[in-house]
Amino acid sequence: MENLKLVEILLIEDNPGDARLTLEALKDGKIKNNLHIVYDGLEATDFLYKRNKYVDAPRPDLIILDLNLPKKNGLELLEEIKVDENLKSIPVVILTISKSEEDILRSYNLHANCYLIKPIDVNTFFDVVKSIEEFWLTLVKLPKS
Amino acid sequence: MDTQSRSREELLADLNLAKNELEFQRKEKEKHASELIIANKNLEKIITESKNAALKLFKSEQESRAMVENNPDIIGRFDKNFRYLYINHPLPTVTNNSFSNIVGKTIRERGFPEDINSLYEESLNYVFSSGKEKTIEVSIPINGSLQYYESRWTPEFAEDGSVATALCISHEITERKLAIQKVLLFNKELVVQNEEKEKRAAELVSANQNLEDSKKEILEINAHLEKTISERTAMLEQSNKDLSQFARIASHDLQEPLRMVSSYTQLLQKRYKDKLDADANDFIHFAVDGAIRMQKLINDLLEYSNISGQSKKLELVDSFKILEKVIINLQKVIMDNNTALISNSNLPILKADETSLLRIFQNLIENAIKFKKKSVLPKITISCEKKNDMYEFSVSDNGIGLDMQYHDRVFIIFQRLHSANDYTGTGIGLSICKRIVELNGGTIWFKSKENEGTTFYFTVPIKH
Repeated sequence: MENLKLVEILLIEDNPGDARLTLEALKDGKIKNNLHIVYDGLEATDFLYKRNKYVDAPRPDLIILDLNLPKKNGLELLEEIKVDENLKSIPVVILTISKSEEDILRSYNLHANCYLIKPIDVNTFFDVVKSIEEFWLTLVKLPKS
Repeated sequence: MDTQSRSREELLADLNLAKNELEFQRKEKEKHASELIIANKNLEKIITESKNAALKLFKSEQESRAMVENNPDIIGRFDKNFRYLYINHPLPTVTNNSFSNIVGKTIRERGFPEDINSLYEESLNYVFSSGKEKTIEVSIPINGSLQYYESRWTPEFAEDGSVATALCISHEITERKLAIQKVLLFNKELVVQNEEKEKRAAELVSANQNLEDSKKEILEINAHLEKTISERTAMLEQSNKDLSQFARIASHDLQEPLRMVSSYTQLLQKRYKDKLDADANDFIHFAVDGAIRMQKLINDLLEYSNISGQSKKLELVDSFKILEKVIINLQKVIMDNNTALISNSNLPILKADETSLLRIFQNLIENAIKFKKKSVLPKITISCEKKNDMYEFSVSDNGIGLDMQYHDRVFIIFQRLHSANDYTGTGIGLSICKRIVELNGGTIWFKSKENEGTTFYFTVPIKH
């Protein structure tokens, strides 16, 4: 019965092209998942705190977070998630184009679970998304929420 | 008888009387004689006394005369007609001036120069008319040189109080005068010297003023220059900042849409390869290739613009060890191409920014391998020479060489001498080298012969 439960993934990504690419990559994946896409930081908090139109939103099993976000940027959002007792156990994967050392360091200091740079090549991008899925949703053992 | 007797008697009486008379008279005479003797004696005494007095007077007069005559001052007495009544000793050299010649003559008749004559007459006039003293100074030419006298004119009064004569006592003051003149001359000299000094001081002040003015001008120019420089520097800094920010933003923001182009063309290819014909696949290939190349260009541009933004920390670094690191970084390409790397033993330890030096070596060696001859194994020699205050590094290869006419183009960003088909790369490597070298205060150039190889040189200032 447990296998039938869909894995809930929250993708916080302002670029619809990248969002779609992630979606496409996950489509090819082995795991049945339910990908929720939000396009800015505020929408993301609404989703996570089940506010406004996200009253019925599920608790995500994995968050994929871009850093360059409108309204509230990725690092702020990351900090909020990681200090919240109910949310901090959700693995957060940073997926960004920023190669900046500062961004990498700040992300880990704010307890990001991993930091990945969006690959240029589409095949590599697919591989990266698939490996996120595979690692965090099949290999890693997480606490039961 | 009576007569006779009486007569005798009478005679006798008469005689007796006469005798008495005679006696009296004799006594009187005796008395007179003694009186005469006394008178004579008195007379004699008086005569002696007056003789003595006369003698005394003569002596005293002689003494006075001696005093006057032996007095070194010239003493003369004049009457109301300005005639000499007396002169103690005349000036020896003035003509016709013996004592006898002078007395009775007027001053004018003595033959003094006219100015002295009038001066004397003026003094005499004053003394006779006012009854007061007057002192003047005169200079008399004697034997060609001037003798100076101070003449004091004094009135001598008659019993009725009028001025009877005038006395002139002339005291020679030539020495004093000459001394004073000397002093005056000296003073004058001093004054002249002082004036000269003052003049020089004034000149100095003026020169100083000029210097001061020049200095002020220079300072103004300097201040202006400094202002201009600091303005320009600020402008340049701002422009550099803007540029590097622009480059970063541009490359960052350009990446996003570019990734979309490349990703979705690739996705298209991936998903629909079998449904498309060969042309469509070619087109997709070019689109993907273009997007990927553009991405590389953007990355290179970002790297290039980041060079100026780096804060360089200068440390003592061993250039040989840097070279070792480069070899490790380029291990694969070096091995794949069977490259021989030779370095001379005098690669220095120097004060430099390690990253900069590493970048330059790496780019130049990569470049040398890239442009190797197809038939010959690449051989790269790295060496260094100390030249004045610079280290001159060289990276020499046996590659295809470069046409020297393209010397300057080689260092321009994205300028390529070969087609992308023959040699990969965006053509940024050497521009990055040039930028790093120049930002570190050095220069970069090369010497090359086509088909014989190229030597790149770059300098690093020696810092202590």
